[in-house]
Amino acid sequence: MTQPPISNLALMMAAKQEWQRVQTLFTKCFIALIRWMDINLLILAIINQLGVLVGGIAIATILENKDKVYMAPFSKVTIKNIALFLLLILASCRWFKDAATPFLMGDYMRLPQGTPTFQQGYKDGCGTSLYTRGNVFYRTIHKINYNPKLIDNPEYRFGYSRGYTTCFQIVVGGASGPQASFDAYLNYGTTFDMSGGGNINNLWGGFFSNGIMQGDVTNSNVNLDSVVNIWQNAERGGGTVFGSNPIWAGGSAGQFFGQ
Amino acid sequence: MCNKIFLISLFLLTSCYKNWYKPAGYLFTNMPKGGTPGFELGWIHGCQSGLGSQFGSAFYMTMYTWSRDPDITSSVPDIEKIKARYKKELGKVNWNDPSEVKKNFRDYNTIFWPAHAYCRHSTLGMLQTAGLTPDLSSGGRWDPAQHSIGAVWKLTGKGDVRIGATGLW
Repeated sequence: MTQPPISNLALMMAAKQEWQRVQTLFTKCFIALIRWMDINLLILAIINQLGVLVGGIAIATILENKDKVYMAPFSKVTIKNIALFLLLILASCRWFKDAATPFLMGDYMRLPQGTPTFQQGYKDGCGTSLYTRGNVFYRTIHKINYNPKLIDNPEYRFGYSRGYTTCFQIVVGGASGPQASFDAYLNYGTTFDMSGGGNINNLWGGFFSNGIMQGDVTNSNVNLDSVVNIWQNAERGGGTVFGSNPIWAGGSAGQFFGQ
Repeated sequence: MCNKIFLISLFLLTSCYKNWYKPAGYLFTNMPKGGTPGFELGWIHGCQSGLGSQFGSAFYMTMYTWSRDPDITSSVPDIEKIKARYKKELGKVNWNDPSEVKKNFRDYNTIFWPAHAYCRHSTLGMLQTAGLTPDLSSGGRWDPAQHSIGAVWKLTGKGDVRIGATGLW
């Protein structure tokens, strides 16, 4: 039994269908890419790619027309060196591969390298902490994630722990504005300039004078000293537990324990 | 009329979940699905303990408390005691299979602290978003004399993300 001949029209129709299928696939891939990539870095990556393209065209144009334009200052060796130099610079650009690390769109978090299980744990931990300590925006786009099936996997647990901790620090600092909780104890705003000028009260930009080693939890100047101040003056200026600050004597000589 | 009230009550009650009547009780609906009974029990106990910690307010601490089971945590757990205590929660555990029992206890202890962290941070995050900024651990984060319950829907608290506000925008 012989097969009927395939007409040109049928071939064209098949080719057209195949092309449409490729187009659809490309569109889907592109949409998926947009959804999963950090849009900011995508734009940066496109700019970089365009930069590479324009730079390449410019170099090629110069090399092709070097006989027609005034090229006296540039010998062949110089042009080659410039081309090599540009190549080395461009090779360090951020390429799609780096920019397309899929993680959480709209965030600054990057997924670290590691095994897929570790990365899954990292993503889950990060999303969870963003939900817990983020604002309304974060709570809208994230939720708690923990895969019970991977609870015995040490890589997953390690990734979860690292992701939770890392993103916790980011979201508490970034989305919270001025520190207003007990986290303020960790918000060391003092500049450590080490220029005390012989007086400990001026050391590290007033670290011990008006920096985090001073203040009271009952007023707006919440700082590290507040921790021990609780022992000294009870909670809100109540009775004294110790005769003085148990750690910090506060003198200009910088005595500790009253010495 | 009684029938209608009964029906309405029935419909309302069927939507209940554990701790639905307590503050932030909705957090218990966020428990990851697919875990062992030990996992689920550990998650609930961890969340209850987290909500009962100082991260919430006195209100939360009244409603919740430390819930970790010392017998499951023990290196030599008293199986019979645990079995009797959690007839319903650990009812699906095959107590005749030592490896399964061990796995459930391990899951309990493993998930306890992640659930603790999740619930206590969620509570504190929500309170801060509502503008209730804690100063001291023992200080009142929710003061009925100063704050309204409706403050939980405030957008102007910590982490305000509205355009033009002090958030990320």
